[in-house]
Amino acid sequence: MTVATTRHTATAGTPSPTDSRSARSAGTVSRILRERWMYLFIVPGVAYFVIFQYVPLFGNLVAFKNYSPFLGFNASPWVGLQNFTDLFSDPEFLTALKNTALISLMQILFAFPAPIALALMLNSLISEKAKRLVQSVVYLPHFFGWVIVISIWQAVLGGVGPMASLLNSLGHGHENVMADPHTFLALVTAQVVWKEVGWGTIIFFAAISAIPVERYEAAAVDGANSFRRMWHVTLPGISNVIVLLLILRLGTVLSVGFEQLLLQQDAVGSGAAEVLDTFGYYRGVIGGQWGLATAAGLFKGVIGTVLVISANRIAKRTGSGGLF
Amino acid sequence: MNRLNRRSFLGLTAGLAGAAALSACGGGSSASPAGAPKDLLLPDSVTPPALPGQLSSTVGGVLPAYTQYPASPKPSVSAPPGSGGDITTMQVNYNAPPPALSGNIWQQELNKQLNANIKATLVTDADLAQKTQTFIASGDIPDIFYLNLQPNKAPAALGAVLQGAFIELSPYLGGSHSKDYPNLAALPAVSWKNSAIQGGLYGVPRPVPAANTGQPLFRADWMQRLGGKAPTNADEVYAMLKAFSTNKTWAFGAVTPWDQEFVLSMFGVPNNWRLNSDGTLTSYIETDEFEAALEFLVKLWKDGGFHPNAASNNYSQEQDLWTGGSTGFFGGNMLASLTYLRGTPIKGVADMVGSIKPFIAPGKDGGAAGFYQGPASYGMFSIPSTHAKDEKKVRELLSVLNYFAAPFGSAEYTLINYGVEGHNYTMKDGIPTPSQNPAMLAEMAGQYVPSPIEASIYDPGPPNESATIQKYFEQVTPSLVPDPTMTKVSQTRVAKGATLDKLIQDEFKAIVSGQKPLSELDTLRKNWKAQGGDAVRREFQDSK
Repeated sequence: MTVATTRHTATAGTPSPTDSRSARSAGTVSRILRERWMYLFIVPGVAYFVIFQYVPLFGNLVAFKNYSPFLGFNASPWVGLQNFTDLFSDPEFLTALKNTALISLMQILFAFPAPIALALMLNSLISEKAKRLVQSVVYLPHFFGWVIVISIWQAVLGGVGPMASLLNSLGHGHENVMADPHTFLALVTAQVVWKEVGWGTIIFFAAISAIPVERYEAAAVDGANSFRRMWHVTLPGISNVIVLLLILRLGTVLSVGFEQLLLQQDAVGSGAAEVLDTFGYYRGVIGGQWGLATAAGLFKGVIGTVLVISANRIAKRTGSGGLF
Repeated sequence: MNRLNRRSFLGLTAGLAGAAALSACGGGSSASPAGAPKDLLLPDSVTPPALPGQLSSTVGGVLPAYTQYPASPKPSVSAPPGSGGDITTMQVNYNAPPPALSGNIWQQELNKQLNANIKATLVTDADLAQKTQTFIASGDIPDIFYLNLQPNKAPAALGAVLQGAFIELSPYLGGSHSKDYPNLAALPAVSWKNSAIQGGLYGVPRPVPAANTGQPLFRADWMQRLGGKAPTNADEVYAMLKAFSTNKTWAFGAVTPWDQEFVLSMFGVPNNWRLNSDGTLTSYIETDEFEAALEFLVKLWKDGGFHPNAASNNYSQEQDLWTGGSTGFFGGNMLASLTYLRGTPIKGVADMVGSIKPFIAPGKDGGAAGFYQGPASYGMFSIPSTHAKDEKKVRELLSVLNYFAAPFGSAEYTLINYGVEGHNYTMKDGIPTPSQNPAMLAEMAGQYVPSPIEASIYDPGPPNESATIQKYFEQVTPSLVPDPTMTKVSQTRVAKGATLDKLIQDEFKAIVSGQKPLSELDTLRKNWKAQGGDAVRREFQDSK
């Protein structure tokens, strides 16, 4: 659409009606004019992407500079790939990368399929009333901020919570699950499942409701029990949505809950809770090493892009629609 | 009002996304200020006239104590410092946010006295590092800017200072020039000296005592119950800490190098660095003393001396445990703790003054512990170099800072620290008594300025309390251990200091709380050296 607009102005400035290219453009112009209201509706969205997504992309150049905000962009010296060399020789970065990959893997293995399972389970409930009630209850945690979620978990599982008292009275010593770096991976995954599983079901419900009822009826007539109906009708019916969401999820594979991990880093130490996003925050915003932090961010973006494109190809090759 | 939290609380908002976008800004020259510590020209010191009831200590470096507050505070500034325009500030605020100017009697009065319209950006302690960096990145630094370069505050801003973001004030304040600003000249010389950077004065310090860490408040009433004998060596201290810890009470509510600093001091761990006889430096984490102190704390953790959530408790959770009567130790900066923290009641404690006292640790084998000499300032108030060519503006801002720095008991000091009489406070039996209405306190949110309130010992409690507090300082001040790198600059530390400090803090926590074995200390030392520790050492050693 931006392209179209530029062409419009260019044509307006060069009046040569006999030129065939202009004639074609004139056609485009008149089409644009005809649909001007539609185009007007797109403007805010495009402006958003240009201002907040595309222009900041140029900020990635900071990754090749020894950047000082006070000196400004132009006065900060270029350092070539120095920031990347520093990054990959930095043990903290390697820890962060490892933790991010592990947490992400756990989330794809457990947090991603959880809403599918829940949606299928809820779908098999017969009572509409019970379904609505359960849905409301499981949606709720999504609306809590991470500060609140972690306070709740701390109150229940922390060193003075009921869990610790119970274990203590059973003679297991003082266990503080919230401050144990060895089980931290399971803890953060469980927190994500608890907080987001209900919200995640919404899209799957929508997909399930789009499956024609006749298919269930036909399957029932053929003698399929409820499990068979789920397996052969519901799951294939929503498989496109599952693949689509999985591809989207891969794009953010190196972004794992910044707030969630920042809040718990003090408790378990950076060995377990340092991820790429917190690394960038500590090195850049707090530590002032903007170039290094940006290099980490750029690296993250490149990996995400590669993953999305390859996942999309694989999806297309295996016969699911893919994303683009 | 308490500024006791030296730990960083993490702001939760900004991520890396913003980092890259902050590019097209900044300004000024790229010339870094040349200078060396030996070129430092301190302001000539001026001593304000003594007040009735003032006790000056015979021990060098101990602050004056005041046994009474002047009945009619006298002005220290003859003319309003401002020229009637706006003055923007960035200040830290430890209170609730203030009401709007139209409903803020205190701010209206202050503006009137200053002949200026103060436009303050108030920042919470938790957001300080982030806001400091963001303001500098925006290129639009307020006229009076609170800059705290201490570890866990905003140490990375030192880079901008060295690149010339703030005005070097020696031409205005150095030597005899200080006579133009008598209240600034009256701030303690040690605070000026230690806040200098590469021999330059980049801001007006907020003075605090040089002994400002390592003497936490403790439950003297619990010690009384145990027999009342103050411990005289590390073993007796251990016995006391263990006895403080039952199933319902604990010695400590949090674990950080700051909360347990007195244990490090007790074992003779150096103040950041030890200067060896051959001129080399040894970091405190490399010393055997540090290992011994860690061993002491690891054992105490296993013996239940720490609250079970100590590793994750933040400052306010730690304070809740203290005021709930569950922990035996809290704080670390004696003066502020005694004046402010002791004003917050503790569950089950009737006589706060008799029950809550500073804990002055003994040496490991008896004698005195080596407490750390701090910089004697807690941040400074700087003027951005965008005003460098406007001498009139700089002088106006310095006059405003001079007003803020008015000495103890003056009219300006009273307005800044207690407010408007009959509104924010009332005089009761000669003691300025703050209003119990929280809204009155909130009006004074912008009161964190270079006032010498923490460089004056005045406790409005029992008559002799000010003198008693001064005696505590006389006890710890003579054996204060200096930091040999205090005013030196290491470029690696500018770039990586925050990261290195965090590394130590994380490992300290992990080892004490048993997440990692004590043998991991060697890994910490190795990582610290590799990640910049060795470079920092070299640069400090080479800095003359």
